[in-house]
Amino acid sequence: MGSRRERILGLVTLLLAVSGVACVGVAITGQRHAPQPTSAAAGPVSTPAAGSAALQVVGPVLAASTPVSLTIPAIGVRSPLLRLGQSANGEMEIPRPGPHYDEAGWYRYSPTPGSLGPAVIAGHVDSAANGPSVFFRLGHLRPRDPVLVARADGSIAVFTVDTVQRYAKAKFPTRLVYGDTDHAGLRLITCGGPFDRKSHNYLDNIVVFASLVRSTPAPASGRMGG
Amino acid sequence: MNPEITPAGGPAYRSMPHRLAAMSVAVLTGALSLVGFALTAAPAAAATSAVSQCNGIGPGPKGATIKMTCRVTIVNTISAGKTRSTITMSRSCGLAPCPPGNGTTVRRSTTVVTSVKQCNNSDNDTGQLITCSVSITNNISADTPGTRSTATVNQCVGSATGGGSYGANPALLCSPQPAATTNATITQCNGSATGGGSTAHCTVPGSRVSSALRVRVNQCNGTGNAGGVLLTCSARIVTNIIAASTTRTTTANRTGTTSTTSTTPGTTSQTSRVPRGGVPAGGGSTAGLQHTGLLAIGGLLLLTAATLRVSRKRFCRAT
Repeated sequence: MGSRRERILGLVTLLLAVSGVACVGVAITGQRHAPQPTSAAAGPVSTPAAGSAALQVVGPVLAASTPVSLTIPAIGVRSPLLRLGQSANGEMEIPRPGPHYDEAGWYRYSPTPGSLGPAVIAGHVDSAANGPSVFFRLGHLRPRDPVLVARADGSIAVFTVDTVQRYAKAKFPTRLVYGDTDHAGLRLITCGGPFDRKSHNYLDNIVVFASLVRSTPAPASGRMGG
Repeated sequence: MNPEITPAGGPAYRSMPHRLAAMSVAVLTGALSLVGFALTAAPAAAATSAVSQCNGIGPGPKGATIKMTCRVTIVNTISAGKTRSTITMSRSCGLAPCPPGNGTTVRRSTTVVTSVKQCNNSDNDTGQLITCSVSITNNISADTPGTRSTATVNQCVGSATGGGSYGANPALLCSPQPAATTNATITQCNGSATGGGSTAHCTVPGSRVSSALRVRVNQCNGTGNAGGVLLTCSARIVTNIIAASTTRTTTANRTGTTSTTSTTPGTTSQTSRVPRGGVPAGGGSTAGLQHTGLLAIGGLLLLTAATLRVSRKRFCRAT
């Protein structure tokens, strides 16, 4: 009789232990954290061009055309592009909660991607409830990774990553990110670093600096093919 | 007693030295006032500059050019009494004797461009294609005094006189035509493409200028005078009146009064409006420790299992 009770107790103990280990295991493996840029990805950032100085354009430059979609093969991003403006407090607008929350957006006061200057595209790293968002893996990008922007004129501007940086929002390098450049540049921006539960904000930004390397031409107008 | 001072109640008069001194002061004050008035009333002279491209290119030791394309695009801005310009120049020259300089350059300046000279007395050596264009956009704030008017033109005088034409084109294709205003805003294609089988195709699309910014374009004169030349030149001046671009910021100081400052945004910056601070692009669901409920349940189960294990050992010892 005692032996039977002992066996049942042992079985229950084993069951509890296995269940406990399973719960802890699932909880640990289910942790998802946005990758942060490594030192290997952090190369030099070209300094902005002086406002009134002579400017020798470096590399290819395209005529202005509104961007319509973004593709980053290295981190599996394919997103249409919203148009972002400024909020009332002067900060850059971000995609609002709703059906377009997980889409990236082009800052419409910056140059169009491919034209001379720093085109800016922003996207969320995650949401409050639904986990990873469009730029969740932005910090995983490495120099020379391609970034493709399709434009309204039918052309595709092909950029490659120059460097990936992390900056404290409190010391955001505005001039470095938005300042004039001597080339067709691209900045991809999302959140990073530690999360402040009180303000419900990440304390840092991850910024990817990229440069235009080539483009596919816009298709000729009219019917294609036969 | 001082003889220059009359007794109280007497007639007021002064000696000659005092009168001279008073007159001198009055004259000096008047003169200074006039100078001050003149300085404040005179419009501030805008700082100006000139642009020159593809002039005087001729035959060289390696032969003639086979194709020359020159383009100048200028954006002048006058706003809040300040001037600036962006000058984009591109050149493609097919063969020596073109001097170095093919490609595109963009230059920014705190002056406005008022003179453009392009493609004058060039490519007079052999049959070729010469294409030159000037595009000027003047953005002038509404608070800048001045009036707009149509640009005057002087073009295509004494050109394409050699007989024949280039390909199926007419020898002279100019718009507007006739256009022979003296001292015109745009002077182009005069005495050009005079060789046999040459065509001068010169246009000035609807252009307007402002008296606040007197611009002159001089291009394609005395150019392409060998035979078999297709000379294509265009010049356009667009003048926009823009809103007076001042941003007012009102701040309160410690005494409770307010002060207002005006700043002019840098309209030539590539990013027209720079946002404040960083970008708030995340909700935090992937930050910190996640699945804390599951972790707590797992921990509780393991703790219970451990407690049972200890109890079981004690029970076994007791029996």
